[in-house]
Amino acid sequence: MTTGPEAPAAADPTDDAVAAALAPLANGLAADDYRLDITRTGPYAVTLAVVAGPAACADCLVPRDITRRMAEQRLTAIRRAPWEVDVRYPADA
Amino acid sequence: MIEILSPEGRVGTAAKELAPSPALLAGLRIAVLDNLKPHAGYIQGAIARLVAERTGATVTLEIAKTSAALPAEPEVVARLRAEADLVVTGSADCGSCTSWSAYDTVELEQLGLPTVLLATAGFTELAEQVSALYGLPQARIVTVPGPLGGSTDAQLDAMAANAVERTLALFTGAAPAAPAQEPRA
Repeated sequence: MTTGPEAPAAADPTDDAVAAALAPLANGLAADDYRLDITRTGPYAVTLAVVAGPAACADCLVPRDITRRMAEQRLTAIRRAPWEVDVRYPADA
Repeated sequence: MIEILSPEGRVGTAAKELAPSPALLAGLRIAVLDNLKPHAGYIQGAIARLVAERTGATVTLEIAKTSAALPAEPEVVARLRAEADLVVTGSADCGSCTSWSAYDTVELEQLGLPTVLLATAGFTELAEQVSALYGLPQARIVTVPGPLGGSTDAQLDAMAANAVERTLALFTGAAPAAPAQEPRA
């Protein structure tokens, strides 16, 4: 995980906590050979880049809205806040 | 006492209930909803027939939707409502097909049809997460080892045989469905 210029304050969820919250999502993507790169862009903001591996199939990817909603749900579970989740799929590159 | 109210809404969907579980399956009609993933219809049909043999139910309908990456079409859902009491759906063995199979499962449960979703081991957790997102974390999910594509009929038959007890228990409510996955802080 990389940390952007707006590093979270001590009381905010840590990068590790965010990564742990999103781990099930990453695991699901990994089963289709996609990697989830998490970039913290603010205390309650993340960019989630879904990166295709060599065995990834485009038709198998979880719909983007599902990925975003699951991420919001899991992040809200660790801290109730208006999380901003920007999901980027391989087709966006 | 001071009550503090938060303006922050919950993310997700309102909680939903499973369709009522029948105590006995004898005389009931079982349908298979195939998403056309490789061997999905074969193993779901095998599970449905084994459950029927064990219980006195009948497999009355095996129907496919157009695409694994889409929800079941209204006409498919209409036939399931008209011709079945229980549904075996799936397969959940990739990201998109798991998402839409979970969606179908929740929709069918809301229509009163107890529905068991067949998932392969690598996608059970995703199926649970998506079902929870749609408001039904207690969705009935049976897991087989997989993979489905590339497996022989004998291997698929063995997976089906091993899945029968759990499927039967899920239909009757004798087995607890998987709990929602809670993130760890």
